[in-house]
Amino acid sequence: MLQPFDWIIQDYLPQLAESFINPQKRVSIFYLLFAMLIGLFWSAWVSKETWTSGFKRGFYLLFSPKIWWSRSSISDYKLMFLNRAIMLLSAPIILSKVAVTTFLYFFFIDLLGTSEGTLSSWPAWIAPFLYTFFLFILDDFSRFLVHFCLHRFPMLWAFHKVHHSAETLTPLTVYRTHPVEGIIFAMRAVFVQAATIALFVSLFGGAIELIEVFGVNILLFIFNFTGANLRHSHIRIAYPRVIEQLLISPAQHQIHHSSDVRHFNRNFGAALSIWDRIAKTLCTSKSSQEITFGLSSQQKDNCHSLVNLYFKPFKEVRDLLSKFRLLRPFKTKTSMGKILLNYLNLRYLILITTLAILMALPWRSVNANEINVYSHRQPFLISPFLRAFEKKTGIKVNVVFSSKGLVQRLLAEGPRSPADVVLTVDIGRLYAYVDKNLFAVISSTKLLRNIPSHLRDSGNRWFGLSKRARIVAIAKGRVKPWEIKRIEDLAHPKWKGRICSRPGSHVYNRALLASLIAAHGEKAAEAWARGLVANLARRPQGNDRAQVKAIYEGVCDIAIINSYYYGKLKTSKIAAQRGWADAMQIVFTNQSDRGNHVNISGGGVAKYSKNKGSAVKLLEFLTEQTAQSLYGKINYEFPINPKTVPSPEVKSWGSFMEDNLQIEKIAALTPIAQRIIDRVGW
Amino acid sequence: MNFKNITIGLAAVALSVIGCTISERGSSASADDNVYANFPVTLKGYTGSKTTSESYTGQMARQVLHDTLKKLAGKGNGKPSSTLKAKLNSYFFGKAKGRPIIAPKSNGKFVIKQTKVEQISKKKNLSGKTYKGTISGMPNNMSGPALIKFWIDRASSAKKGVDLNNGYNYPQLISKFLMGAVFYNQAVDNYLDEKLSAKKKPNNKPYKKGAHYTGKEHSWDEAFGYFGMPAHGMTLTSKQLYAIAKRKPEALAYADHNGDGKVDLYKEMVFAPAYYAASFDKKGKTTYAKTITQAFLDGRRVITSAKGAKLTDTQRASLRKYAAIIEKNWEQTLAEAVFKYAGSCFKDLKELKKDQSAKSLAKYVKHWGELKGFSLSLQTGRKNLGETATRLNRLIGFGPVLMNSSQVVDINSKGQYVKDQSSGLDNYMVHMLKVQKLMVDKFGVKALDNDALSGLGSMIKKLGKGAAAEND
Repeated sequence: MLQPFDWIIQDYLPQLAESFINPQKRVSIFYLLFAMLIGLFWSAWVSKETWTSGFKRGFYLLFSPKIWWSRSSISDYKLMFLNRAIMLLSAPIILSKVAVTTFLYFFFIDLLGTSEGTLSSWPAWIAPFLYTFFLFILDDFSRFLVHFCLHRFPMLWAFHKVHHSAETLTPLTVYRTHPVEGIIFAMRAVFVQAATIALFVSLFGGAIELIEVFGVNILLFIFNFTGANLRHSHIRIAYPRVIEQLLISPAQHQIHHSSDVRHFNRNFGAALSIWDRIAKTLCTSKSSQEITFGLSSQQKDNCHSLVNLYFKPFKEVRDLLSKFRLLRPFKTKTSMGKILLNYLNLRYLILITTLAILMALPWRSVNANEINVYSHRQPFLISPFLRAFEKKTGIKVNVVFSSKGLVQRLLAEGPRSPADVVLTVDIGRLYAYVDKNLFAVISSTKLLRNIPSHLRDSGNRWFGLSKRARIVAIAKGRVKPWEIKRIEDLAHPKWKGRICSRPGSHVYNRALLASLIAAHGEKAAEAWARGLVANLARRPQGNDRAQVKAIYEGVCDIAIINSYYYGKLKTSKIAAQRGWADAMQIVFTNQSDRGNHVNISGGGVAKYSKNKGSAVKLLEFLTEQTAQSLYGKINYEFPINPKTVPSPEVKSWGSFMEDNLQIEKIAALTPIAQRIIDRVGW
Repeated sequence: MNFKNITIGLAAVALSVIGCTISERGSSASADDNVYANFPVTLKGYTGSKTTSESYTGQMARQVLHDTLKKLAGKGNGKPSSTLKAKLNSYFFGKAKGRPIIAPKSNGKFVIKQTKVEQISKKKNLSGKTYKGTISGMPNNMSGPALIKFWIDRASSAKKGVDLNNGYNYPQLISKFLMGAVFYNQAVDNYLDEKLSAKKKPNNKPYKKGAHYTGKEHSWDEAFGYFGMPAHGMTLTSKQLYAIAKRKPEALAYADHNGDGKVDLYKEMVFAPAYYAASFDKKGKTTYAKTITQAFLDGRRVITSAKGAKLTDTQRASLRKYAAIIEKNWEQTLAEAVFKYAGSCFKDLKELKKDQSAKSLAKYVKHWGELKGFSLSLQTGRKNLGETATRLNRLIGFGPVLMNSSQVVDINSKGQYVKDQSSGLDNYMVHMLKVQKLMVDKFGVKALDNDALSGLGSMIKKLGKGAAAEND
């Protein structure tokens, strides 16, 4: 740790000096010199007498010892020296810009789904231009907003008043600030800069150069170079009224510092006045006005004493808080209130909490009338089923949802696993549980009766619960329905550049390919996959919905999707999605030979289930009339139970013949299908 | 404060500065003090002929077994080879005599003294010392040895040890994982942890019957051996350490500490853990290799100073302090490697989106192997990394996301990889960035090789500091 003396030499003094040298700081010597010249020439220019008397007047207003050595200015200097030290020491409590930038960057790229930058293809000159402009605008707006709040809220005004207590203005008055306000402004800078950098890097996919002069944002440089320091001075530079509607002139900022009640809460802007125009707080300057700076007479009691400047705001905040009775102890006279307060006593709270925990624990662990479902299916899809089951049986169902990793989780939990039932989609995923011996063999005549034999495990470990057909979606008007009769047709060269598909490795596509291997053998299936890939209009990407959207947008004319997506899009609450569905038509393939390929959603009972009876009951319930109808209504799937009629919407697509391939075969052929997919690059 | 007080204060400061300077000079080490050698025999009652007590031959033999295994894992011809598999197993599981050293081998003027493993130490294998816990970053709850066995099986049938369809580079996976599962784990979770307790391997008894070194001496030496630093490592720069590990002919001059014209793999070679530490130090932002080696030397001196007596609590506390330094820095080198290779994968993916050649893919798969291996290594330390490990494993996955957006999500009971559609290349690139951020947040890495987020830092710098109490 640095000793105080070292700290002063190594940290404090260099930072203090930097304020007057670094062109990023407003009181940099270069800007001060230029402001001085502007002030002198302005005085000469507006002088009603001679140029020389104008110069003299300007010189007086700029350098008068009455201004620079006034009590007000001396307290400015003291604050500047002390605040610099306080801010240096409080740096650790101010959020790190790097941390906020990184956090926001990841937030944006998560939102965009890529770190490559969605606007990276824009011409190279646009990014720096936009970045510089955006940074300046956001910075200026945030200054306005914070400044507005500092005046609007009494607790913040208590601190901001320190700045407004200045009765003589010099460029150094910019440092007449309470440290609490300093921290607020520092946080503002962190958020503005972090948000801008993060947004632009995520949008453009890399670092962007700031358009700068001497290492400063060019717009900020212009603002500082054109006499920004004169805002805190006695030189009253006014702009033409039209310009003052756009930019804040030094005279307008001086109005902001006026002790005249008519000028209170006016001109909060830093560089731009448009924010004040919007907030209706703009006040343009008048040539005849004489302004006295400082607070109103009732607020300026001994306002230059250092002790008052630093501590009075805290006292005022405390007084404000006590008005809200927040710091007063609770008191009550009513008997009910007294009882309530008794319950709020810490001892009672601890006792009640402990009892509640003790009561809840054994209840949770021994309750057999409750089962746990590990679900790959989204909660909104399965909740209606489970609520109906609870209603019918009184067995409570808890759900653990995860789209990935449940197999490994179950494996890691082993015999301690709380899982009773696993629900998932696709035969491949069901088979993974069997492969790892995570499903129990169950005996249920209901399940055997309700589910056709080719859609359940021959070893009675997993059971299909609903069906979905892998159909072909064609663009209305661009492809005739009779042009595609078989899934095999998609490999025909006539469809070159007209087909869209999600990646082949997805379980739905892989199962489809496995069905082709079962029908024609590995070699022919590979030739088909190669032909299909050659016909793709774009790199395989996205989900099934994205393929329908691509048809709507004219990217392609044909896509392979699961049947229920058609129903979902057709009845979507989003009008655009309904539009996508309108652009397509469904084709059930292979109707004159083996039938359209179908896949299943299904489930099984966990091997280490502690409530196997209830777990089987749930599976049985899912294959019966009530639940089977729900599959069609909620998710536009086909019922697995042949006795259940499909939902009206699903029925409206027409009946079709399905491929009655023993679905276990698909699971067995999956590794071969994956190898083909890798080889052909699907 | 009056003038007198100020004068006294300044004088006190001046005296303390002078005092510090003198004490530092007093403790500055001579060249020999910087070499992990020539520690006297302190074992009480020892009557044999040995004059020095340090010994870590078994560890250096394992460094050689690791290097050899890595080399051999890349020898497959694309077809299952039981001969290659048996060979690989002989270096991982086996302890047989006559096993030749396949790596490191002489390179021109850089002549290596030993050609067989037993010339360093006999009956040594790697499997016995491989982390036995569950490897949650790979499917099926495999233990460390089971995972290596699985990878050896795959490597023996993969062309040059690489499976581009599934995205695995086995030599890299095996090597980088063993760097944690054997060397890091044995050092920080065994020799520098349990064996530093009062009851285990006490300093007033021989390490084992007939040994000429005490329990604590040898425990400490074994941990040092696992770091893979030459005994005179402290006298070398990070660039020299790097050159030795790379067997550059000119490196013989500074590797050959005893001047016999050959590099002794026992005492003069730089092996993987030390090599990685030194490679990060080359930039000058970190001093991992030196800090770890210095802590080993300092700790060994504490043990030697006990002169064969049981260590006092103070002495053991002092050892624990050095062990903590070693552990922290070693962990950071592994985290630096994870950071580096996550950055490499990010770059590779960027390149692959433009050029999908087999060469670019192989480069990505190699870097992913290094990333995965190191990320698993990081999880084999003394502490359970908890949520950090879970996040790391989820971000990296069981396999890399490949060009057709597929990714290995499981291994079935036949040992076949099971793939699924991943969330895509773009998303995986974001994962790589998140891995880098995780390493910075959780391990405070500083070398930051291949920093894919360096652009953000430079932009932040440009906008300057905001810590001034300014106002409008």
